[in-house]
Amino acid sequence: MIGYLIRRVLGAIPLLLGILTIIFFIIHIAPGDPTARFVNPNVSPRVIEQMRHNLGLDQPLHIQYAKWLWNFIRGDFGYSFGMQQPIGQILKGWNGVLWNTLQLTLVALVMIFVVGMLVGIVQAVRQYSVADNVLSFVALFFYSMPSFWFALMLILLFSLKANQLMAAHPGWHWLGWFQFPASGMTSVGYEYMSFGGKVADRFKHIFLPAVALGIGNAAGVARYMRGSMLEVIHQDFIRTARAKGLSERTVIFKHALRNALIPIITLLGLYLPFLLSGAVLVETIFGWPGMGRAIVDAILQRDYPMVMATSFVIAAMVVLGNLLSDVLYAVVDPRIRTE
Amino acid sequence: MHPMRTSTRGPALLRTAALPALLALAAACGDRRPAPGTAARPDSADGTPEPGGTAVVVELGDMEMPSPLLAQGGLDSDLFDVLYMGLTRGAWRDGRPVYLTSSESPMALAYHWEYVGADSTALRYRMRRGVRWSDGQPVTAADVVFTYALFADPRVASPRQDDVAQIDSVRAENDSTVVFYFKRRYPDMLFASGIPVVPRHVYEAAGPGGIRGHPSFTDPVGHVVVSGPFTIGAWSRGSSITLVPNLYFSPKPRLDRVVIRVVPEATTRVVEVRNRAADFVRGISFDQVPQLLGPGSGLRVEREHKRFWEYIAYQESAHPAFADPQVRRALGMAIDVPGIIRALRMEGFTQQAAGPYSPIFRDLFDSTRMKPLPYDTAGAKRILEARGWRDADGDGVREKDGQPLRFTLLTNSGNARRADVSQIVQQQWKKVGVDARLQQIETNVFFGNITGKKFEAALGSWQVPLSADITIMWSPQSPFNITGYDGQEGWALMQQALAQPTAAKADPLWRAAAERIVQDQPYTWLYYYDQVTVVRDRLRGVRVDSYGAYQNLWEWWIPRSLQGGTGSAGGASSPAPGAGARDTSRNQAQNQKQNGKR
Repeated sequence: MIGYLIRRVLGAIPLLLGILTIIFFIIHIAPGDPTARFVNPNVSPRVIEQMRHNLGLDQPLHIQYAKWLWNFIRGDFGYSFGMQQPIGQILKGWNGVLWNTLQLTLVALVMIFVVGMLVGIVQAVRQYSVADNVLSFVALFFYSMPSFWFALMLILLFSLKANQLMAAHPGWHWLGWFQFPASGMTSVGYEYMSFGGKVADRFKHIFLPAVALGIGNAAGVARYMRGSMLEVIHQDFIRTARAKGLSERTVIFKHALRNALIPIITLLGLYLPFLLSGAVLVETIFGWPGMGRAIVDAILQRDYPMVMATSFVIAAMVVLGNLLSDVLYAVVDPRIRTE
Repeated sequence: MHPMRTSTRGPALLRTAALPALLALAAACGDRRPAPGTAARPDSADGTPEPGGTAVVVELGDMEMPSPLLAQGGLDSDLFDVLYMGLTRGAWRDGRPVYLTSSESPMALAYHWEYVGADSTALRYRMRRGVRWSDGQPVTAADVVFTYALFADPRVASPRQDDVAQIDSVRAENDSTVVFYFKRRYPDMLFASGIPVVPRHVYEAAGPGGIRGHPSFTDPVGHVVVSGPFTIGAWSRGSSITLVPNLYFSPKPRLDRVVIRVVPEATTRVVEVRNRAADFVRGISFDQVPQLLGPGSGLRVEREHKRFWEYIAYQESAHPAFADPQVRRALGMAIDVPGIIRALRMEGFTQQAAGPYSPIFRDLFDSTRMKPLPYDTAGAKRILEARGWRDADGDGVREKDGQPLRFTLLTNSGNARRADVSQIVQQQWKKVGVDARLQQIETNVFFGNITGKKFEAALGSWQVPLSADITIMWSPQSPFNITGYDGQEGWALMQQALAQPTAAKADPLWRAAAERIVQDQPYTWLYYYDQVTVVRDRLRGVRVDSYGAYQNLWEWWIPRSLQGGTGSAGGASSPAPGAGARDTSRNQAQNQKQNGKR
């Protein structure tokens, strides 16, 4: 297994380099310029030229590429034209955009699988029941919902309307459980909260973005789970388990679920890139300072070093996600060989 | 002087200078309006200011480099005017820019200035003593000299380098006296010498080449040294900036802190203000105002008046029709601008435009001599017929010498208002036999296309500069003369205006030049429009005008009875009275320590 992993990781290096090289040339060839944001009647063309020189944009493209590649190989992502900061500093750390996005995607990922699997199991166990039909309808509804629209609806209902209801009915304290902030990662005054208060505040802020990001995928997982469970619970070993007199709970959760999970668990790695791309919209709407927003801003500003760095992170995650899927598949199903 | 000199004209001024940011801002103003927001203004009956409280500001974007040297528009330009003092403090009074001394504004370092030299080409400033940086070091004339040397140094590549182009040298006569020697006497000498000052002892070691990598920019909390009323207490990138009082600034700011939250999505910003989670929300589009205001809303609207004008520009070499001033006039007459303002519900926030000077200029806007074009389709048709543009083949589109009056009207994507305006204009032009094809492109590319003259007609907006000098917009060599206009008479008037020593002598020439340009209609001027900010009534002492939104941040206050916070979990909550002393920021702690020493 270790050898297999090393081979896969080594094999990913030329793939990543190829992806990044294509992105480098596409973004440089595309119309627009990083100094366009400085161009205004206050700034003379002479100053703009000086800026281009300082940023190294006046050099031939192949020289720029060679310089970028050399720095990249040494682990130096460069300096963001837009944010005016070293990119490593922007990406890394507990306040970095990468960790902010990972928090959001990890919470969304947990929600996707917990909710999706539970719904799928209920539907499979109660096949063709009213519950199965209703859940199928609901799952399809969320599956087909555009995430930006859904995000705005969540804000409207669970932030604005809930807040208005609370103001109109001061005695309805329970409404507080359904009222969430519209944006940001923490409240103003977070640093003055107790530890428990901080945890609750973090949860309240991440809940709506995570739901907006994950609900569509949760619906997808539910459909997969339902199909997988149905396939398993009609097999002979389940009938045998029931014949042995095992309780239905044991049959479903111990015998059926384990086997039904095999195709589902591989989705874990595959959803990671989907979540990262979905985070672009969700982060913008919820004012979440993550990588999705950073990528969009970088592209709009032609912040080449930032585009390259964030593209690398995403490409690496896609590669790792795929690797994770393969590994998990091998782990949960001993019949799969890695050789 | 430059037309978009606003950037240097003060806080929000610079903000607006960066055009892409400007276009994006303009884009944010979707603009469908209701009544102009004039709810009750508690500022007029504020009562006695009370200390304490946290004001929550919501902005569209994050800060990047809030230094007068390196700021490139957006929030940075607003912030550096809060963080740093200048020799004088710019302001907008009665339709004119003024430069206040320390007797009129605590943000001014100089208590006196005077012209010196036989031809008055030098300015001597006398600085008040006792002003200190936030690290306790005194602010001296050496800081001023150092600041201007950095501005002029090409290695710094300051976007404001041109603002100091007319300064020959800056010399300190002693610790509190500094003299600016200019290459010539001109009206904007006070403006050029009033740029905020940065601390020499902080940046000298980095040198001009290394200043961009200085820790005060890459990690400002605990490293930035300021002279203004607030400093940066905390920064969560892309999320929020916490401003805390600089304890060396006098008078002491009334608020314990100002938290600036970054919310890029317009709808979310509206929800935040309706949830009482924000006190001061920028980037509100005209169509959002009616849902926010109303009886009991507890909100009011403040505006930065008429700081932009929306235009249709005609690139003279792109189509034979555009080379003819009469045809350009006819195209303008075919557009019902008041109808567009009504249709898009922009009344109250816009005014039909007539030329490059906005009505905010008392000495430059001349409504008697420069009037908006009338909406007159019959007149437009007559002019087009007379100029030889006729629909000979009956296809609804006029032609001349085999060339149809057909062109592409370009605008930037992501701006709902411009998308609407371009469609209305297309229909109105169609009625007079003009076929405009609409095209929207990304803002960055749009801006490159218009300054590179790669367009036929373009719908966009310019920021109104707070200076009379509009030469860069009309100089034949300037990339900002996007239409390729080559009016010799107007250009000669501008050259004469530039040579005048005082505004009183230059202004009539600028007016005459503008009038001459308007006669030729290189643009169709559509309307001047405001920037709108929604403010909660609990926030008092706020002054927003054409000069900017944060110009008196140290005077903002919240009545003690209302300092308790908001009705939202995500909203503003203030620390208990006196809790400012527990602020976790390094700067605050540092300041307190220094304060204790004092």
